[in-house]
Amino acid sequence: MTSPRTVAVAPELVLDAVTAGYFDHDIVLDGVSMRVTPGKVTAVLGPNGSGKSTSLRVMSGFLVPRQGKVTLGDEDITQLNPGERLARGVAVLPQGRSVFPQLTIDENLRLGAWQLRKDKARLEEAVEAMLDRYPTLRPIRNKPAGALSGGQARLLEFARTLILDPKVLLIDEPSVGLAPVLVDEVYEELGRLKDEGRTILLVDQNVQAAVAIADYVYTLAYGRNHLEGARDQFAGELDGLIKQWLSL
Amino acid sequence: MSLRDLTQALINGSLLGGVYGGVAMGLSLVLGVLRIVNLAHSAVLIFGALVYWELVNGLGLDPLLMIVPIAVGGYLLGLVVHRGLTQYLARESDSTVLLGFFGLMVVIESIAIMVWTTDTRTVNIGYLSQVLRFGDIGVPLARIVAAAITLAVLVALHLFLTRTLTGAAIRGMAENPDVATLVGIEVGTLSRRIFAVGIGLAAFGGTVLSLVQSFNPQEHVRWLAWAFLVVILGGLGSAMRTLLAGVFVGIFETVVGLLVPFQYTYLALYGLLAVALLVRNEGLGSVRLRTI
Repeated sequence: MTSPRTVAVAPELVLDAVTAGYFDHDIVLDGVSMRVTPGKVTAVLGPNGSGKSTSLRVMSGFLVPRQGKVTLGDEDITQLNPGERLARGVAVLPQGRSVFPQLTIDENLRLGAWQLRKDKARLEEAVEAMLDRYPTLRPIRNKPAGALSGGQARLLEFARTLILDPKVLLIDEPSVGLAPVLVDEVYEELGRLKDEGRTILLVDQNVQAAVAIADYVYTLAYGRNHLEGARDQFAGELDGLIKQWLSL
Repeated sequence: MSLRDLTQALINGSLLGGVYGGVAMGLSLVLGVLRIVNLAHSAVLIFGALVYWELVNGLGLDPLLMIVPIAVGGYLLGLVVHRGLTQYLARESDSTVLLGFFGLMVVIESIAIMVWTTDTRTVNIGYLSQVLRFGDIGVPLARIVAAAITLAVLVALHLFLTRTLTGAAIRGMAENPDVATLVGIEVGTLSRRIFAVGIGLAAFGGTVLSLVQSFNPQEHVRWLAWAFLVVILGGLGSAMRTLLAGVFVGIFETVVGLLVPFQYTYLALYGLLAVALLVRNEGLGSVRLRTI
């Protein structure tokens, strides 16, 4: 991997009193609010079913809230779809394997740069930049992505997410399903993204690792805001927090 | 069976099978990418053939040139059907989707019977009606032309799907529509166009089929079974595999026709369909697992 670069600072992403659910009769998020501060890592933690991933789905545009709004700077983006949010610099790294397995690494990268499809020169440049950033992908760029190891696939997912140089990254459970040795590499890469000045919302069950990298932490419980504060507030209370979640 | 008979059967079967590839491609594409079992596929195919017959026999227009407006008309019909039906069915259960397209099939078939009755039709292929002689072997020109046009269309589709970024987006969408949405691919727009291309290919299939076979509005279900047989043998969405499966079915039908009385040929083909389902141990439910 090459040395860190810096990106222009993004506007603040805000979830404002959002109520959302997947079916008419259920509410997964109940008036949840959070601010994703520019250039910082904001972690969202909580037990299973607390609404972490749903809050990320609302921020990414996969789920439109019933009440409340999502803003990016001064713009209300509540009704924008994921593609429109991507065009505004908000990219998502989803949970689990998300490569297109039957497509080659090269094709996966190009689809990440789909919004540049009418500008071939910029598209080629973006693909090359990602192959420079993750050089282990270059010699195998014509292999199907389904043939990659877990670690290689995660690198490809990072590359595909970063190919449009997004200012805001919404990252869902980045280490789920990976071998422990690869988990460290994933958090190293997250640290690098932070050093580049990107705005990151990190939804994670790996509490220790998430708090270690976060600047600000929100916790959710039963679909509502629970606790929030700067990392230092949480660092000493992790054991108690985890025990509390286990009892929820 | 003499060597000459076998050679004749293989040539006829290959050409007919090429056409079968064209008959099945639209079904394969819509099933492979959009996971929609389009039961109305063969009704559109026969409807396309009837309109084609009207243009060629009724208005005396050129049989080759008229393939283009029929395919384009099918594409436009596909856009309308997507807007009026498919986009709503996309959110419904599999059985509702099946029922919806069954209803569409009945509507199209009924309109066809009202307009053209149940008479069997044969397209007046004019200058394509000659038979080319290669020694003892005679090959109808219409069959060569129909197979060649189908080959050209399927190769073009194959190149589009495998060599272009939009083709990669379609294949990606078939694998994981959520991730396709996430990278900014306009899944809704692309779905509408793919469905329309599928319907356009069904109408195109009707034109090439009518160059080599007589047809009537009521027998379209037979072509639906043929198309499913080709799709099950060839897999979903791949133009080249669909073509090869079509050729296999064509050769099988022709060679079996040499060995057993004509009335048993269809029985053998349905037997092949049953064997294909058993051997591959998968039915239409495999759509969820297998993609183009």
